[in-house]
Amino acid sequence: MKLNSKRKFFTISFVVLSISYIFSCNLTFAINYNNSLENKNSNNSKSYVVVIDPAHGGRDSGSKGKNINEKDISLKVAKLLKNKISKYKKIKVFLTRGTDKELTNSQRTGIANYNYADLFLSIHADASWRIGDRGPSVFVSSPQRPARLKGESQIAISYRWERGQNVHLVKSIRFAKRLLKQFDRVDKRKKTEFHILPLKILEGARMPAIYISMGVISSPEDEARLSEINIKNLYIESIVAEVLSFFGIS
Amino acid sequence: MQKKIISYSVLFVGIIFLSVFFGYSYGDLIISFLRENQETKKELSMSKTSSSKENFRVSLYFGSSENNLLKKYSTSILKTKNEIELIENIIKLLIKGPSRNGFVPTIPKKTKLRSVFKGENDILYLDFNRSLSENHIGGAWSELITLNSLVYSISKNIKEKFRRIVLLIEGQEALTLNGSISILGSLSMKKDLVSEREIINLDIKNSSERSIREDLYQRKKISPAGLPNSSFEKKMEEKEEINPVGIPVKKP
Repeated sequence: MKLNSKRKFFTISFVVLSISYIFSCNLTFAINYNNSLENKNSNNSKSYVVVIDPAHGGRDSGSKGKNINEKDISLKVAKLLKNKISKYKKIKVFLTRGTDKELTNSQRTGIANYNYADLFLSIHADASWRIGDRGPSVFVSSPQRPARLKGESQIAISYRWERGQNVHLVKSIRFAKRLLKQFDRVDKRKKTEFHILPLKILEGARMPAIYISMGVISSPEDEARLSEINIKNLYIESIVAEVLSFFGIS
Repeated sequence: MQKKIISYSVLFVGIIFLSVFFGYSYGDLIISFLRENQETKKELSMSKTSSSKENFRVSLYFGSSENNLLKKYSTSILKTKNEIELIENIIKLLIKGPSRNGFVPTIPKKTKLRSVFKGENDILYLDFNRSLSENHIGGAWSELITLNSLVYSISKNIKEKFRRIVLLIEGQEALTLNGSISILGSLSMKKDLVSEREIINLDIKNSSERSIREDLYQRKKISPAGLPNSSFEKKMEEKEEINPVGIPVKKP
């Protein structure tokens, strides 16, 4: 009799435990599934902000080619990018300047920070000391470690303007490297240059930030290409494609 | 009264006659004596300056025409009294630009060095005029090349180690050179910016074996490793005038 009661007890407890285990597994699965559904729904409703910065402007004409200036080319490219990206309703695009206006580096980055941008693109057209140098290049800011001031606490240092980009460097580099692959497909003759430099324009940006040089304006070949740039240009399409894939938009 | 006038006039004529006579006969000796004194003085001063006019070998870093890196450019300049003068001369050479093919200038031509001075805590200040930023060609990489050209050229030639090198434009600290690279605080040296191959440019020749070898290299007679480049060297080698690495062989 005792043995039978013990057997009964163990079997009942085993059944109860197994049922409760199965139930808890199902419950956690259901919770996770619901959460993922919610995320998808929130992604569907979320909009992204991209700030595009045409370099230089006003009295600062930037690099000079024979017939064109960097400030004009960068504004033209920025407007083309804005027209193309704005077609996707989930992405709002702002330009740091829409006209020939002079701005400081901190003002440009400040516009991106003020608008809580998800991505910051600084468009340039660099020059080179070397004759024959051509092709686009992509740069990302290097981590900034400003010197500690007297009496400044560790927390205060972490909020310094110069360190704004430090937290977002991984995403910036990831975006830049994927953009490089796109650019290399456009022109297989020359590999796109990528470097990490102490760039003033990007250091205060509190979002992934990339410096894109559309070409070497001092090179006649690139100058001709940049002066004729239009919305169907392959480099512009590459940038747009990469922005969309960055936000997971098909 | 008349006697006095006559005596004074005779005395005056006599003095003139004697001075003419002595000047004509001994003038050359006097002039040569004076000249000797002057020449010895000159020689003394020349000997001092010639010892300070010894040549000093420096390595400048200009842009390379083959790639987007810096390239070492060896040249010789006059020896200076102190390192600040040496830095000034180095920067003036950088502004002047390279004189050989294969190199590209890194500093705008209208740039002028206003001053070089050492501040507190071993900080070296380089003060340029605004042409350095206004006439700069622009671009992030070009700015980096300019800054590292200065930093490499100074740090590789100066024995005194400065804690920081600070760039000033018109006496003031600037945020950037031309809008891209941050120069506030101090200039830093970016590693892996120098391409390895070195080309030698000697301005002064002397009779040492090394200079003969370098001269042969400049006339493209030998490769950088010293191996003969053409039949000219092979003949020289056969005649045992140079050894396999291109150094002239001393004949007994």
